[in-house]
Amino acid sequence: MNLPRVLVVDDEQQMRRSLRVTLRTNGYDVDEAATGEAGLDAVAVRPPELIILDLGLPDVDGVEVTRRLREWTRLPIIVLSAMGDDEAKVRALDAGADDYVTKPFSVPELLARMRVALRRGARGEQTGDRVVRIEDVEIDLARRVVTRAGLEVHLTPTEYGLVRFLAQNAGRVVTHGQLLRSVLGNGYEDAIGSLRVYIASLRKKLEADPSEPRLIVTEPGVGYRLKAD
Amino acid sequence: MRHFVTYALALAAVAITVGVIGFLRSYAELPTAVLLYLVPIILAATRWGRGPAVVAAVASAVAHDFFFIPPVGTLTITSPDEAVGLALLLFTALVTAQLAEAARHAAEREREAAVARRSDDLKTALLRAVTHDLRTPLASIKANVSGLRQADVAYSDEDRAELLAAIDDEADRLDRLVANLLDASRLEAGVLVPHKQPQDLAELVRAVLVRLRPLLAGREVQLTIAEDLPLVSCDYAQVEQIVTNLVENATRHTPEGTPIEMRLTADTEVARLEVIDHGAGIPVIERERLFRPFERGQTRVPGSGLGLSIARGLAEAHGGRLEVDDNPTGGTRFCLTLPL
Repeated sequence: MNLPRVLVVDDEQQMRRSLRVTLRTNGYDVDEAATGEAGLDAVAVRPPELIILDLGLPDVDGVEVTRRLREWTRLPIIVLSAMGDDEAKVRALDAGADDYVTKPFSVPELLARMRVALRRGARGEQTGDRVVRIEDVEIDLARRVVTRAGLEVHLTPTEYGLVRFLAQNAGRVVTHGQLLRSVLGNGYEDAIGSLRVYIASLRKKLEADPSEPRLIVTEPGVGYRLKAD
Repeated sequence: MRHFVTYALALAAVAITVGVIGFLRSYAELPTAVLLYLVPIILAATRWGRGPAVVAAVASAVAHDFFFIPPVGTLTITSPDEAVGLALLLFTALVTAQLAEAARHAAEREREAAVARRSDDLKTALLRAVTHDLRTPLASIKANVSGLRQADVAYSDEDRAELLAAIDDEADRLDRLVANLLDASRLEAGVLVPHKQPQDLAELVRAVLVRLRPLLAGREVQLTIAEDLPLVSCDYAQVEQIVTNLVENATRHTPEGTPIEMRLTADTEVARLEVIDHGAGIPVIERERLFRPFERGQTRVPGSGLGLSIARGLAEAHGGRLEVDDNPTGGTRFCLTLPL
């Protein structure tokens, strides 16, 4: 049987050991690299299906590794970040990482993120389904129509732009900067305040309880994530 | 006593000035000679404070009146010009002393602020180091435990054993870190007194190597022990901590798989433990920094930067030393000496 192969890039020997054993038991083939350079080489020589990349590497930092990988490959990347390392995490996501998990993480949490990233990887970047369904909300990307419980929801162009970008990245975290760029274009990356307002009004239209959002989830300090069905 | 000296010095400075003016007046009439008194007055004001400055000003006025203002040999003042001159001397003394005092205070405050800043920096560094170092082993423990708890996945016996062993290793690592933190705070507080008893260092070193086996991960350790090594009077737990930190340091800063040499020798006065690694070595200017808390050299290798500073602190608490230099055949050599 051909198991999906995962490359773990982490300088902590114990973390590699943990991931090697747990991921293997959960049905993955595991390659390992202890430094950023070794990781880059490993991807070039034997591309895996998914890369798990620690941000705090001793040689090249994880953000730089992400940037260099994104110059030539769309392979899904999940970054492992230390708590309190929000800035690096956001830079890694902006550089093109698919998702992040904060250490200490639990294995099921990582596995869930891996499944989402692999599904996206298999589908290819942003050429996904024409219709995205989450609970009773349907986002028809081709017809540009959003319905909730079968009824059409009226969205402003900015709101639709946000929903479309979130839907194209369903299940995956998108940063404030990425969202703002996708909707307002370059130069508005710092308008997080306005983004909050747009998201609040979107939640009012789409969520059953806008004060306890289940569809558009806040990723504190990073951005938002549209729940994947 | 100190006060008395400063007043005496102020008077002496005035006496010298009187001498100089007398000497100059024997050559020419100098109406501005009175300005020369500013020298002892300002000197006293800036160096010794207000009291001596006022004494210098009054002494200058009295002496000038007595020795140079007619009628010479009396303390009477006849011309208003002279009176104004003397008042100005007094005024200068007070103002200069005041300014000097203010400057001294400002400098002192600045120094205190610098000390406070340094202590804040240390605290921040400690916090960062501790959070990183505590979290790293916790992250693997959490991953392993959450993996083992997966209800729907069956780990093989071998894998289960490996995950448990890793948890065990990481718990040990946390324990070592906490021991280091405790020692650091005790060393800082000066309450770490060695309880010395005769110990067999060879046995101690072997015990440390057994305990650190997981960390050494298959590295070759070449341990040489001199014959008839005497017992060394030391605190077992503390010397164990020194040796642990040295070995840990050697594994951390050298490539995986490179050997580590340890040599245990003694002469008539000291016992010596050398720990030699085969890493890149340490530049001379970096060496002393290694022993300061929270310094990690040029590497981004994980570690609190506490190990070596604690090792040296403990060595010194024993009346011993911990030094670092180049190993002639490459790598770095740490040398611990303990008095016999």
